[in-house]
Amino acid sequence: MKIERWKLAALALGVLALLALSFPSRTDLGWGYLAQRDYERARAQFRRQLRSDPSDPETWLGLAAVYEALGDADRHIAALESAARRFPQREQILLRLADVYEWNKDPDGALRTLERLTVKADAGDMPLLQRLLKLYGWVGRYEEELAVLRKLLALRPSDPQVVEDVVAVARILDRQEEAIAVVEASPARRCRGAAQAGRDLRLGGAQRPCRAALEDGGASLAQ
Amino acid sequence: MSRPVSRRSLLKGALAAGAAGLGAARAGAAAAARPVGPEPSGEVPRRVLALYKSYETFNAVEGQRPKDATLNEVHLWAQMPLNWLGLMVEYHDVARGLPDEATMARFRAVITWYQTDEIDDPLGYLRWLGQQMKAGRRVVILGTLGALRDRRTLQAPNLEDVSAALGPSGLELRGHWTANQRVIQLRHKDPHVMEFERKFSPGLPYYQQIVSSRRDNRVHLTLARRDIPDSDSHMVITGPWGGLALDDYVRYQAPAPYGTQWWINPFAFFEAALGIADWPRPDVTTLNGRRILYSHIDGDGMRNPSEVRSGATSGQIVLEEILSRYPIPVTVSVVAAEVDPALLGTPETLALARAMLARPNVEAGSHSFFHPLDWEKRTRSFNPPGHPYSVDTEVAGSVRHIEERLLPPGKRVRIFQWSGATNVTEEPLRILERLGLPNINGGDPMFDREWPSYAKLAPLMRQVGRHWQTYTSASNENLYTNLWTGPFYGFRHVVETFRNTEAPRRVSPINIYYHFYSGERRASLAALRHVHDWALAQPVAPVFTSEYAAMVEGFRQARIARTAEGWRIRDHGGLRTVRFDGTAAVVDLGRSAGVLGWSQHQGSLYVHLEGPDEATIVLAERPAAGPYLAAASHRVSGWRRDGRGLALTLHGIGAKSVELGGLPPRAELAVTLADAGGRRALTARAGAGGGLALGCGSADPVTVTVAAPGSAEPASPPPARRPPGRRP
Repeated sequence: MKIERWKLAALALGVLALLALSFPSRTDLGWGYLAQRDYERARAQFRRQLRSDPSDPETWLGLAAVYEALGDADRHIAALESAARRFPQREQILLRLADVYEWNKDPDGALRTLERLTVKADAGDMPLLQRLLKLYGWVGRYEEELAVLRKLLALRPSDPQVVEDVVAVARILDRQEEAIAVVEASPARRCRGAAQAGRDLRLGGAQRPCRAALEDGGASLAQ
Repeated sequence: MSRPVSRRSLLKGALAAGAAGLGAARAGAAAAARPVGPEPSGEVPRRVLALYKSYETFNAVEGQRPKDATLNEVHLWAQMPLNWLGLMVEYHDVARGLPDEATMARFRAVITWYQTDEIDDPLGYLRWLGQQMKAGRRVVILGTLGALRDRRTLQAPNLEDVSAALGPSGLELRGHWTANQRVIQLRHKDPHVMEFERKFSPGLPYYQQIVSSRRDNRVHLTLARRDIPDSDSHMVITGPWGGLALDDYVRYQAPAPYGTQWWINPFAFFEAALGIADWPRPDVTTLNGRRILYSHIDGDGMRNPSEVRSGATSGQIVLEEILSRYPIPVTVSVVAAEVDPALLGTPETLALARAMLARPNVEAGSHSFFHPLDWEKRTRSFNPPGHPYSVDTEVAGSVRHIEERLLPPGKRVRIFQWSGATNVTEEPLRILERLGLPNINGGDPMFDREWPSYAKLAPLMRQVGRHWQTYTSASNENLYTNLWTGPFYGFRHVVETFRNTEAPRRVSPINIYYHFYSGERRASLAALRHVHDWALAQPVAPVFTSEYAAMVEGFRQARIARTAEGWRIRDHGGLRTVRFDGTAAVVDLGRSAGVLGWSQHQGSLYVHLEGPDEATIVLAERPAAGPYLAAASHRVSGWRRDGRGLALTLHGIGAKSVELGGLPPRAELAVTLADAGGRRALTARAGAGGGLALGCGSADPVTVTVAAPGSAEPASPPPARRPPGRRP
């Protein structure tokens, strides 16, 4: 049987292509070495891959993981920053980077990173909003904290904890009217909310349950 | 492994709780009271009695718990600055009644930091506070007054009666409470005391009117109400009677899980409120002018396989990469069951433990037998059949096992390192007292960008009944690695705490505290190296952990007396430094005794004591003629100085150095260094200021003599003694 030469050539090319596809990429090799805790080889593979093709986020994440395993905190963060810049649409990279900033005791760095994420104001954003809330509060950025709380309030208008938080932060900012408006919109939690905010957040004084009742201009324990 | 239970995590907001109470009769004495004999003339009491209400509760990790000597605001936040100011803090539950006058004679001050205003017989309590003021004791009130309602009847006392009870303070309570921010205005804040770690927010949360009428009171924060006349209120005050800092202006509390920051400067506030500005402060941060460095390893994870070298265990890696490479004293503990081949160990772990503990730069500690996790609940990491839980086995049994099976002849276990949650009870402490062993662990201090506050630092110790638990001076790698889940390099950030506890005031030694499992990973080993490299680049005085514990015990016991010329210090045991703050004075060595020398650092005068015997310190504006010890890297014995020069002997592990002052400027000096290897003579020249710094090699001990050329050497020091405070 006579086989045409072009068919033979096509077959050979196909086999070669299959072989090429089945051969692991440098990124795959890097992750493989990483799993074997062979960090030097893993780093070499990731770096070679990035020199030739930096378009795969997995390679950047692999390189960051190598630096983490080697204990190089600065390069760990730098690799994730590079990945976050190149792939801004990849939320998971930004969240990972924010984690790493927090683990490295840098709440400002974590906030800068989280602020790059787009809040869609749906229920799926609750963890992000809660995280922003915590960080803004601790670093004393109350305006931003209140902005996040407003978003949370829009998502959960009947959540007493959110109401209390809005009240507390509005009071910190001396926005009594906003605090009162929020409390009045939740009449069932009127006094409790204010008192709870006072107790749990910044007012202290657990034993003055109505001291912080916002509409009360002069509650007196002695009375 | 330490459980993630920090002191602060136990306090996430306090709630009032109704609980059965006792009358406020004068009855129970403060716990942990050491019998007090006749006070020598001039002795100043340096103890502060902290009152708490056991019927207030905490939201602890395991649920609400009544307040006790640990779970209360003073211990969590105020004791650290009070300790730094040289004061001992003891605790007393007001539900047990108020201490009588004989008991109170031991105390300089009373401090309260209540969350609630209910108390038995409020006026009786307030009058008792007034009596303390009249007796010359200071009274410091933080948070609420704590006595504006009777706990049983809920009746509020008349405000005039309240003011009368507190008469010696010159404070008058006028009420006018409000949380209405529209009417609260800030009138005055003292920048030296207020907004210490955090600025006030625009909205001021709370007002009540307290007016100071004593002219010698100092007002640090004044608020007013816009809606009523004559409404100035003095919310933060200090005076010759003590001090008051009302709720919401003492500290900022962030929502969980974050921490707290001081609104007031606790150092300045307590110093003024307690009237101790010129007092000498027993100091455990410094030895001979150098910042103390101590390191200890908890035994966990010694058997773990390490990725650093194939076939090696974490313990082997720590031995090879840390203990053998860094010439510093390290206290190494083991969990006895993990080493014993008859239990969880192997012949290899036994040999490894013996090799480590035989090293000259290693002292032995015990990290228990089966690693209790919770000392209150009596749970433990290892539960082998046939070995029921026994506190005696965990403490005395582990010490005996290590001494009999692991230590070379002549070595003893020097310290016990609490395991797990470190929430020890009196029973194990009683056993340690019987064994004559000090203890350490717990506290979990941090001070960094994540926790930017002195409030996150730990005090020196915790009162447990009539015993004391010594806290560490830094957190270990478990807390820096998210409970050993990574990143495993996290321990490198302990350096940030080391920096923040050195400047602007030195509040802690450097304490490199970790577990054997740090040898498990490349990242954790890199962090350990980073921390050691940083620490050894500092001018430190390295000591074993048991020596640090002896200093803390010396701090606890020290007595201070004011003399006609200066101060007398005694009963200070292993403690070797007394500090004076905010002074440019120096020590007049001619009129002082038991003092090696002094150094100035960050506005404080550090006085180097010669030994455990009584010392007399006389200060002067200018130094007297003659050499003195400015700094030394190690313990000093055999100090001799005369007209011809001086001699001293340095003891301890590692490279030694000494700095002398008071020498003739630019004088050429004959120096000899003598150790077991022989004697070296060299010539050195003093600096223009009369200072001389000498490197003295690593031998232990090494004797240094310095003399002007041509003059005979000063008398040689006596043979080197074992450093005091060490078990034979």
